[in-house]
Amino acid sequence: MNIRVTHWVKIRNHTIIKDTQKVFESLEVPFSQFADRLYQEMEIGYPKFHKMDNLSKLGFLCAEILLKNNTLEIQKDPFKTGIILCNRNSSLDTDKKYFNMVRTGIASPAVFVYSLPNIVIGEICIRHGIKGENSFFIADRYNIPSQVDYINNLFELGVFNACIGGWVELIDENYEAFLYLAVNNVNEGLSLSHIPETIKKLYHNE
Amino acid sequence: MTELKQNLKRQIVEQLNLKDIKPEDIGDDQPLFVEGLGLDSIDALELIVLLQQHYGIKLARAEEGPTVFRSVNSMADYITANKK
Repeated sequence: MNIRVTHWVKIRNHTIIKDTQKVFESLEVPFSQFADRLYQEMEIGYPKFHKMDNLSKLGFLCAEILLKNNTLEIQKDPFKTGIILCNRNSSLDTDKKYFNMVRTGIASPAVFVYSLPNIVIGEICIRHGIKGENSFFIADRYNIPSQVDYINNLFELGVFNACIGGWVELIDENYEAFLYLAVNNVNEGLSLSHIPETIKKLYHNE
Repeated sequence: MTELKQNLKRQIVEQLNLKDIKPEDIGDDQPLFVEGLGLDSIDALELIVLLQQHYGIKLARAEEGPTVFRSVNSMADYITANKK
């Protein structure tokens, strides 16, 4: 196996970095405004975006940047392209919103459907035609060795030819997304070895 | 009736977060689902909530949904016939 990280994107502190390059920066504004500005700037034209909860918007936008001009590996075999994500607060941001709706009036079905963290994976899959295995793990911190090991095992088993891994966390106005694309046996993009040390460096240092 | 339809269009846009559509863009007899506005099953549930929240109407039978929510016209007819 020769699993390589070809591209990565990080959204943190109103700034977006892709492969070490700053690609977007916004003034300090609420997340909803930040997301709307980015959506307009990228000219995405996907009306369903406006119906998503904030966690899904965060993951969706991060994936848009990650996969821009870079969907070849998914197109080769969508059933062998997967997504493995994790975060700390699950879908608590939307859970609280839904809970308050239930307490005070009629609850919205459109809010209820986002009261699971793996919905963000579903939104990315629908948008990009990804049909392979996916999982969303909840943990107190981003356990990079565990995630890398899990993804590599699925490559070894022949389940994946490509996989999006990372961390998508949002609670109230605190948000952070980090996604990377790992592909088997390619020599394109950054072509970094898919080992914990690589992902740690990209996530913590860049 | 015209005022009811205008209100309905505004409420549909707000309730369903149709940010790319203006109320005046929705035709009175334009289909709301599939080839029309392209609404989906979750939107259908939101329309049921809309009827309850704004007009105090509970959809008695689920099988009526496709007829009631076919267009703004059909929704307005249903509201007029069932509003208490």
